[in-house]
Amino acid sequence: MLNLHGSKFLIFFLFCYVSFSAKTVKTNKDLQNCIFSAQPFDTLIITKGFYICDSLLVNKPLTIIGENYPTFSGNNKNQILVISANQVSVSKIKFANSGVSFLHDNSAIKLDGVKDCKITENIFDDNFFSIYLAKSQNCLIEHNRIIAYNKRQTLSGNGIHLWYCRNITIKNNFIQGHRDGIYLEFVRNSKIISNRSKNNLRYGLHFMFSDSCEYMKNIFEKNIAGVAVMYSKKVEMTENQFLNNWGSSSYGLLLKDISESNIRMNVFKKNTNGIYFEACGKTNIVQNKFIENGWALRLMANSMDNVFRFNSFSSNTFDISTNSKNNYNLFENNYWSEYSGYDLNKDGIGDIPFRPVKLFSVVSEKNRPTLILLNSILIKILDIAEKIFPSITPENLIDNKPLMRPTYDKV
Amino acid sequence: MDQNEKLKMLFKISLFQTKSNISSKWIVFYFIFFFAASYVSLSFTHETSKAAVNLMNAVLFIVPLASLLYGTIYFYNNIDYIIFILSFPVKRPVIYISLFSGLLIPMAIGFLTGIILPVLLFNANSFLSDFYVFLPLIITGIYLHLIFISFALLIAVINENKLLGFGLSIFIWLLLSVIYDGIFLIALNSFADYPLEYFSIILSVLNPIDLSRIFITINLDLVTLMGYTGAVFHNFFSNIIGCLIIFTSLTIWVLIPLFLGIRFFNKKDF
Repeated sequence: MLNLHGSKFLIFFLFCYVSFSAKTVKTNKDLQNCIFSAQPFDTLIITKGFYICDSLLVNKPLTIIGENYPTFSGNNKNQILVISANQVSVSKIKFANSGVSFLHDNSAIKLDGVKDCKITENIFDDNFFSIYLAKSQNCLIEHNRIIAYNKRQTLSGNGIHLWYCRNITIKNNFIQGHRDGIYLEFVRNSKIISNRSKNNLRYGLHFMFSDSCEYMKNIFEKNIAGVAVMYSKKVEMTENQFLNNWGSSSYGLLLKDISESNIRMNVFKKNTNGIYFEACGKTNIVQNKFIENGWALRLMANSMDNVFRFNSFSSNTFDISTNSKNNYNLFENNYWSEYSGYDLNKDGIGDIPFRPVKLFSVVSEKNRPTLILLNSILIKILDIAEKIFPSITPENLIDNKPLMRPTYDKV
Repeated sequence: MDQNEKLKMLFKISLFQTKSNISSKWIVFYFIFFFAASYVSLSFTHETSKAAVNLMNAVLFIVPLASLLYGTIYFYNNIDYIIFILSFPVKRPVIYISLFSGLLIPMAIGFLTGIILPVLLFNANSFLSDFYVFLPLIITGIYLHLIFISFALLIAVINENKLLGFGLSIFIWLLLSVIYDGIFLIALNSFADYPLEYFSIILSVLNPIDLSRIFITINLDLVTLMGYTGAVFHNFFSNIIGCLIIFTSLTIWVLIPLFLGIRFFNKKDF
């Protein structure tokens, strides 16, 4: 029922830029009836309170705004809000406790086959899935704070989940404790900008079959398995930070079947594996920084035609490891902190080539248990001997023009 | 001579030895080396665990070598003094043990102050937490001193020939820190098709230097790099039984050369 009494009934024509007949309604009562009786393009202001919702359906273009963050609760068993109309905007609402369900992918907000929706400045607390977009276009997800607390991957959903979407912008969100922070499957032309995704149970960002997408200036931190980008083309990855993804099978960035992409100006710090390449091709890896990783790059033999330029590698346990005797990628003008060559003509480029693959990284790639000898004096001696007379390491994996100084001084 | 008198004598000679050793330029140099190593690695990386890894390499390399060489040199250079002491009514094991502790105490002091002082200088506020990171390094460092000084004395007692003594001590150092790892690596590679985790645990327990390295590494986050084997090692060694195995093994490595040394010293005809 719409409450039409006293101060709770307000009309602001100033807000009605969409339609002349649109009005603003302030409510604290039965939300479903309120939505049914509202006209398209109305604005609903929800006052502070606790609302228990079961798949609250928004089937007309509405602007729903919370006043002092009212709580919409799924009571640990329900889906909370389902949007099936275009041009819906939801902001400043706290969504809590959408229950775990393996049949329905219960989510706090589900957008199904819609266009031009906005989900902004909401708080999501302890939901199974938080924001779920299916077959939607031109939507904006901005400034949301998404936190979940589940400890097990199997009992946890994704923070922001996109399935068959186009032109979605995900911006300035904070995501923590979900299975995958952001999950994209069959998505085109979308942008993921300035999000912070940390302590997720699997990947901070998980990217599947999503061509022509772009993600930049995000921070992915302490995720159990890091970030995975798989089976996609033309992906732009710029100025992201991959930090502290540390664990026995964690990756800063895991690339599988990626081609024609650009990885530029990212920072990889303290990851067990900085970037793992499997079946990647025609990708440019330029101006990235790799600092204190276990393996900065792990390049599998099926990756080729990639270009590594102007990256800086410092204090990694292994700069590169590979399982191949050959190399079909180009390494040029990178800075390697382990490079010990000289530069007689002072042009900033070392006069002798650098071989970034150590003997021990080849040995340990083939036979993992040998890693137990890491830091042994013998291994150091063998590495030096291999450096002077290369025999096991791939002969043509070589940087012919190594830089004398890190790239950020130069470029 | 009753027990009390023996202890008194032991204390007296050890004290004298310590005094004469601690002012030796080699011990001062030893202190300066560890001070510099610790200071430099702390100033390059602002992280204590990273510094601990750097220092670990220095400790595992230098401590066995220095203990072996300094121990044998000391024995050979002071053979006249030892013969002189033997003419007094003192039991030979007492003399041997005081020789041992007279070497151990100054070296250990040089090592400990060299490592700990820079930690204190850099950040006195977080000294306790930093010290906790360094603790495995310090414990294994002390054990390595114990082991290799007892080896040094054993070698010097057995061989009258100085050259042979030096050769043997360098050989023992090479064997335990390089050749053993080579055999280890070959074994791991030739049996790569078999599950090797427990095999490598056994192999590393048998070598004090490997054991020290693994004990330090499993206490740092470096262990995650070692993958599955690292996890097995971590599970095996990070509980009480694992620690017990590590320290029993290290203690056996101290006791065997020490007792052998005493036996040969008792029978030796100077």
